[in-house]
Amino acid sequence: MTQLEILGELKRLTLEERLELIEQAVHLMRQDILSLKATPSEAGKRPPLEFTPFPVGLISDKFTFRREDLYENEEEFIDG
Amino acid sequence: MAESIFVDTNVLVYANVAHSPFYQPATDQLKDLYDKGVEIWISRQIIREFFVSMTRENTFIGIVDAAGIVSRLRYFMSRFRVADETEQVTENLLILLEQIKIGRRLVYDANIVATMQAKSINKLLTHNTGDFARFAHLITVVPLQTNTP
Repeated sequence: MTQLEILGELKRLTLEERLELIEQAVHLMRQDILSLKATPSEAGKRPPLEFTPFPVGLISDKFTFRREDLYENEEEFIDG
Repeated sequence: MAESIFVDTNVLVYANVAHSPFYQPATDQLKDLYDKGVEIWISRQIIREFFVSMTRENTFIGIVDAAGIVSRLRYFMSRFRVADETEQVTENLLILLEQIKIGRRLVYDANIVATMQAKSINKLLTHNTGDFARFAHLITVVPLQTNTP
């Protein structure tokens, strides 16, 4: 598809659809750049999802996340 | 179009705390979805909640400094799609508040559903499935598989 044809298609989209397309394109480009940084031979591939857990223990074994806890007793939170 | 799923804060928190009983299933499911090419979504709300969760006192032994959490968030933002809090999200939230009996504590859950609606994302990966039961007619809740060996 030529650039002109792509532009023609773009004109048929709503503003919201165009913005969504731009967001998606930026995300894809960011991933391309990341994969280029990681291993040049794998350029264009989705970079791997790799991360290690934080070095923290738990005060209680029964730790569970409750959203409402985050929004209550905010004075308990430490300053960033 | 790639399959999409929205990931709740609890999954990210569990995947970042090795001592959490849900560490392994959270990590496995995130990586499995990612490796399958599923488009994983979070939102600005999830980013804020992750930071607050990881800095809570009386939860963790040891401290992760703010820079470490921010770095992890930037990493997730580079791998996942991030939904903005747009006017449409607010409008969706207001409609949900009108249509569904939602207590004040559930407004934040409703905002996640509103965000998903704005991005046409149907699936939500979460461990707190009960919190989203009242939205079951709007989204598909995918429970964290805690029985993974």
